[in-house]
Amino acid sequence: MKRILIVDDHAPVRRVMSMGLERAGFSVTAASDGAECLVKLCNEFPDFLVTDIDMPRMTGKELCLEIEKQFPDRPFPIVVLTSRTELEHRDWTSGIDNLTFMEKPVSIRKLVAHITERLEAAA
Amino acid sequence: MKADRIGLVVTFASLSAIAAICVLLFSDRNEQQLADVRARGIGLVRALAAVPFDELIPGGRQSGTLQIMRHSAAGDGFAYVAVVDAAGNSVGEVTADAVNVPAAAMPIAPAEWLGEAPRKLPASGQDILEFYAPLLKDGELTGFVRLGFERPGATLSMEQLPFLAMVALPVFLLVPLFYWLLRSEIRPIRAANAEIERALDGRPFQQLQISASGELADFLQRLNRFAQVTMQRIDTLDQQHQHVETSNKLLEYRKSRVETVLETLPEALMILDESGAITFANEKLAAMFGVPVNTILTQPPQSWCENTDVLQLLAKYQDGNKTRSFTDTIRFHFDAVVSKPIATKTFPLFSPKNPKEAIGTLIVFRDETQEAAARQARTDFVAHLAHELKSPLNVLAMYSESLLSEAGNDGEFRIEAANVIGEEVDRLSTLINGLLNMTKIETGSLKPELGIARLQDIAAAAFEEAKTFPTPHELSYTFDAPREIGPAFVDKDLIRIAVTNLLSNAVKYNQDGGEVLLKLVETEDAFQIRVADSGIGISEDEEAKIFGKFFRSEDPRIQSIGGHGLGLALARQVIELHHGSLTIDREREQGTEFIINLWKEFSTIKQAI
Repeated sequence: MKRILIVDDHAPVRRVMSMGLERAGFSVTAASDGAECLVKLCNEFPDFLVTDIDMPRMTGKELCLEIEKQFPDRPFPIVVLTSRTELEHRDWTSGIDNLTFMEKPVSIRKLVAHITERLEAAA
Repeated sequence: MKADRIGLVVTFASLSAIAAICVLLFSDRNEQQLADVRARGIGLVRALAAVPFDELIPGGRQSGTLQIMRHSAAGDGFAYVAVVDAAGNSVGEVTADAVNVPAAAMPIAPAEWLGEAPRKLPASGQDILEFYAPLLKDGELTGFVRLGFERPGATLSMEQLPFLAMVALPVFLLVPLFYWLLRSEIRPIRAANAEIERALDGRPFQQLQISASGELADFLQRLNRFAQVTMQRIDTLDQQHQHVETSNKLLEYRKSRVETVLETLPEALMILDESGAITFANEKLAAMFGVPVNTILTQPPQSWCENTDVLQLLAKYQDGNKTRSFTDTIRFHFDAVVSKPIATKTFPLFSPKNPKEAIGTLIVFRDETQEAAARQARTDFVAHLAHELKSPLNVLAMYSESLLSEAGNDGEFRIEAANVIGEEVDRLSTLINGLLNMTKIETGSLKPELGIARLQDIAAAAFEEAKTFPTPHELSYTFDAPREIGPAFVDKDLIRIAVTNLLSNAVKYNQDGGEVLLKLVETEDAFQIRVADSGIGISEDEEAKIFGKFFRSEDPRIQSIGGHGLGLALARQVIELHHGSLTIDREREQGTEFIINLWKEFSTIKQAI
């Protein structure tokens, strides 16, 4: 069973996403912000990371840059959920491999399809 | 002064004439005396030479001819008479008082035995005219007789005074006469001179009285005519000068007015003449290029401008007519201290008299920094708004999708979903209401419905509502208002929104055991509504930004709490709509205290209207 790590500061979002992904057959753990996520990553790598952008303490952008710094050879893909569609809000990802964006509002069905596709492609 | 000078000249001339006459008279008299002395001397010396030697100088007590000479010739300039031998040695002599016969070598050649010679007396050095003649005995030279007379000199003697007086008297009598005649003759000229002096002092020239005759009268008439023509010419010139001066002042006034307008305009301006040369630059242009205006006007553009776009633009207008008559817009980033977007627009200038004749070009340099910032602010606002709308929509979308899936069969999940959807709808509603109110205020479409209201009632209602706001913290609520406070002239609904927003923040950004304080204070000139909390406070850096739209603190303790960043912005706009102020109490050590000041003056004026 593939392990998905969800990072979002909004509890209802964590809960509904977890439920949807678990129903799709994934094992889900959740973190409420980037800092908590980094702690979890130090213990265990997930197979896939789903993160929000706007979060307190450590934003999704800071989290991704920190992961790139601390774990340059990370094996898991990342999908960033964002409401910002402008290109200038994505230019920080240049040089970071295996990272994609999904625009809010996010459909759980589409998210599951995206994760499945990416995992299969990686396999 | 001139008259004195003429008098002096006349006096000097007459004295010179007298002196010249005297010199001539003395000279003539001297010549005459010299001739007399010569005649006497030669006659006497010849007579003495003819006297036998023994008679000239007899021995014993006999009185000789020489002694007789002394008596007869004394007083007429006689100096001495001497008899010398052929070798020149004195044999006998008779002299006037205190005179010594000067030694002299006598001539040897017979042709020179008779003659005269100038001598000087050994003691006094007086000039002597000596006559000498040979003394012969039996045809043999035995000696010489020497006869000396004082040489007549250029000295005045008392005898000459009457003569001199006779010469001088008519001269002295004639001088004042001539002087008086001269003065009478030049009197009209002096009058003319005085009138010219008056005219030179700026007074009008009075026509001269013609009292003279002949050429002087003609001259004075011409002078009158000349003065008249000159005065008329001066009057004409004065009028023309005044006209020119008035025109100049008018032009100067118009020029300064135009320049003031050009200086007041917010844009940097440059005016080129038809040849492309810069004839005007305002201070804003000088500031933009960082050089004095004078440098722009006098130096070639290459010396004060490094920007190739501007240089190309200016070069275009030096080509001539081709590129003059059109407007043009270019954009460039001017590299001064900070790169700024500058837009230029050029306008052809036409002659007011001939609208087809182009007389130059106006170039406007507009700093678009503010416009660019405004564009950026609009873009940021839309992006923020999209984000704020999409976040709750995302939650709604996920829950609605889940409800439609198998999870929807779970009753517990349905209740949770309904609650979450309700919260998110409230959040969206709050956001949209806030945005609508703010947009209305900004566009001026929201007119406050002002009326007399009791601030205690508004504050109390907001306070009661605030106590129901959800919070994870244990808080105490305090409402402190005086029993009586003057009625304020406000839109009570809007003031309630502002106070509620402040109270909402005080509840949200508080901590366990904290306090939410709402206090009303009436000061001399304002009604104050103070909202305080015991939260984490606001940093100095953020103080200036917290009233901006969508501002969210970077403090993670605040970021973890929900909010759109519109509450404070809306509260301030509401208070400013009432011409009041919303500020932060900077002296507070813990937590945050917002102070609303509603000025009594505004209430009084509005009520009066």
